[in-house]
Amino acid sequence: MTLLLYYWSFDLVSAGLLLTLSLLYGSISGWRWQSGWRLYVAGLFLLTLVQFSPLHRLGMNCSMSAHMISHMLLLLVIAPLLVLGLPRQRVGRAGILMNRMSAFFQCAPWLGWLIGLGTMWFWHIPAVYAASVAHAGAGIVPICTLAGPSTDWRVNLVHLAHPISLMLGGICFVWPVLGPQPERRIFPLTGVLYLFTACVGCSLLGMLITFAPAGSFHAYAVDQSYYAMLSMLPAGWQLDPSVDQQMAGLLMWVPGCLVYLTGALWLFMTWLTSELEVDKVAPVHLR
Amino acid sequence: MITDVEIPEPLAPLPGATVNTNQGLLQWISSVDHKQIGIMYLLMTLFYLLVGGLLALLMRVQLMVPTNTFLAPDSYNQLFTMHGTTMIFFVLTPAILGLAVYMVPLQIGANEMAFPRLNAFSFWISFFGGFLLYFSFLAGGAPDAGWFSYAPLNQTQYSASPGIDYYCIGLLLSGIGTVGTAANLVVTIITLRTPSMHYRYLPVFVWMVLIDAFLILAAFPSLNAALVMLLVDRQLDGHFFNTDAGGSALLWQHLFWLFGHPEVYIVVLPPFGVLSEVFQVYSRKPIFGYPFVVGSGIAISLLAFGVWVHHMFATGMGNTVNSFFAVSSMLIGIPTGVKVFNWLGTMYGGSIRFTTGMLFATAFLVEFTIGGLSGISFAIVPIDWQLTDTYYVVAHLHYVFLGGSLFGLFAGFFYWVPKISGRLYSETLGKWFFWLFVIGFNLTFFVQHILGIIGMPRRVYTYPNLAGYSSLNLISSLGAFLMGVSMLLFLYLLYDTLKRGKRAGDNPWDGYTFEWLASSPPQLKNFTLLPPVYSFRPLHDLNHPKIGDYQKPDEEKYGTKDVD
Repeated sequence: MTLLLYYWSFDLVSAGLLLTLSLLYGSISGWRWQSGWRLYVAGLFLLTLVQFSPLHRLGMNCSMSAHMISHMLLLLVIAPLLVLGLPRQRVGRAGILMNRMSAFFQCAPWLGWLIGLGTMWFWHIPAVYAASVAHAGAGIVPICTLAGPSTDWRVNLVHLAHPISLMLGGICFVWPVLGPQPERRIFPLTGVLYLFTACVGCSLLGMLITFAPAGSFHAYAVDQSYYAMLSMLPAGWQLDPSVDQQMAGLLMWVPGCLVYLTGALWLFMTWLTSELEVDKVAPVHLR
Repeated sequence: MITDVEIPEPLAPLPGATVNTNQGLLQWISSVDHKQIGIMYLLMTLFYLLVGGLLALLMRVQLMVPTNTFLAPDSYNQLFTMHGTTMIFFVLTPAILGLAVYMVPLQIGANEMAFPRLNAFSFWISFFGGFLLYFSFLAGGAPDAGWFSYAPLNQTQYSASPGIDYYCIGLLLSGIGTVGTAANLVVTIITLRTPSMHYRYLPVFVWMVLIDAFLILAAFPSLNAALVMLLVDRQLDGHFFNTDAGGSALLWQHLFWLFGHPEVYIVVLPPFGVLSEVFQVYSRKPIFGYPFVVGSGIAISLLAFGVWVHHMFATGMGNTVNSFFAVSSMLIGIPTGVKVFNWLGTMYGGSIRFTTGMLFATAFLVEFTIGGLSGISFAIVPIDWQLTDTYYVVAHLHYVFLGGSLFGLFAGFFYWVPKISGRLYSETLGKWFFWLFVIGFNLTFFVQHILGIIGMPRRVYTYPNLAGYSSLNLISSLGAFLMGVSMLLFLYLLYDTLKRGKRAGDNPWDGYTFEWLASSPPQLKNFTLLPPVYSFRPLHDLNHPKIGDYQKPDEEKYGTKDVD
């Protein structure tokens, strides 16, 4: 029996995505490491794990909660890390594009909110969800293929669009709050509301998944799983489909929300403890 | 040069404000002045506190000895339901609103709330909501399904008397009032601060009220919707919560606790703010770690919506759900713990004046920590299964609501009564009241922890003569009577203060915030001129220019500077 830990995969599109993101950093920063690069690299590293590690296979083939973990990592961890890690001094056309993006989201921060939440909700419509995971019947093993678990190119397209859209949605979502131009971010207290309302939106979806009838999201062909992943799971993991679905919903509801709340709290605390301009004015008291 | 800021007051007098005072009661009824409405809120609170306390005393008489026949089972059900409902909805909630409505405009340097008439409307609709609830006693029976009125007990087949209908309408009315006041407070704090009062210089009490008002706006709609649904069930044969007809009894619990858990924080956050003011002024030190006190308040309010399922561990939702909410419930202990340490840090090294207000604040630290610890034990699912619906729950919630919220409110009462009445209270009477109340409180509720652990269920009208039950219940009842006596002393103290109290100056405690700049009691127009604000202790800066915070950098003002 092979341990779950050995089930790494590789596909060219994900590799291409990682390469593009790396090149993007280089072109914006003028090929120099700038402060915060560690965050960007951490984002890329996590993205690598989400796309290639056993988590990916687990999510694609048998576990909705593993799938949910990758969603949350993409939307709530990788996207903020990438945005926070963007270089301070930007050069070239990509740099200008980034400033335009900041200006755009300064005018319409609600659009970022809508894109982030919309992406999250969209991928959890049961039919869409079913399209994004692996299906039985196709016999190929996606190692060194272009991408995707199926021979049908349309299914593969959905499979490709899925992580990329979640990551981009996440980037749009955090841009008004953490964007690379601090003067164009929204007011921190508005940011707290922005994140809190997003948390509520996310919780509602989590609740829906948790309390939906078992099987609403169960798109995996468990008994004919061609990786036979279920048999690879440690004996203690009782991955009953209904428990799996509940756990997926709860992961989004509770820890997912905690990420938003941590962000809100961070925004608030950094704002409250930052220096005020008016402090430099000499005070005059009259009595 | 920065000069004082002129505070605008509308040229046309507000309705009611110019009514001649010898019109007596009418002048109060027609008032839209935030101070008068605040006082009316507090008087209403006091009235319902006495009524709710009386109901509790009747219950304790019944439970004093085993197999007592003083009360019939159905009257006992009505009593505990009305006691809980009254104390939550008509004592604690209006008390915090009353203090907020009175103090927030004064603390932020405003002359009135943003919407004075909405303010009056909100008060009166809450007031009459309470009357309607109590009218149920005359209309055929008070509600009898507990303060959270679980389905299916709230359905007509189990509670045929109109009590629950009155519960729905009464709470709906007061709920509308609460939401109105919360919206009013949010707008007031955002728009009516004196120009130089940056958010970073808001007094902690105002911060807590602002957070609290958002919490109310987010939580109360869930209750109001649930009440309407229940009314539809009962009056129009709806099937929301009726399991026989395909409804869901659990839905009520979800909707109720989605409101109910944040409600716990709604009634405790403003007392946290009050205590922050009380601790710093009576310790003669600025609050230790201002950003952390405010930040943990925000953390508590945000977490409040992610933990309500822990009230439902015993409903069979499965281990997966329970485990997640056990963890999130424990998390909420962290920001609360942060606050306790902030207050201890404020007291540490301070030159403390143990006035009655400070005594209540200090006692709060002990009692609320006990309540917090028993609360954390409920987050552990197996312990919850063992202890749910026993007297352990009763002990826990009273340590939180009384030892937490009410002690904070009493601290605030003694701190602000010289401002509100213009007179000083007698410290001797205050200290008598404090000790009687605290001893009575602990006698009543501490033993209930033990009663719960040895298995006495809550909400039973009597009990057999089992080992330990009789003596512990007797102690509990005697403690309750001691609290009752201390409340009589409190009424006398109030009378004594108003009749014979010495004139309080404008600033008897050397306070830090703007309410102490206004006269005691404040006139209709609170302020004419205000100094600029450079720290969260603007009045301290004004009165002690040599040691004022305004000359310090931010990190020293806030106590966040790293110490090497």
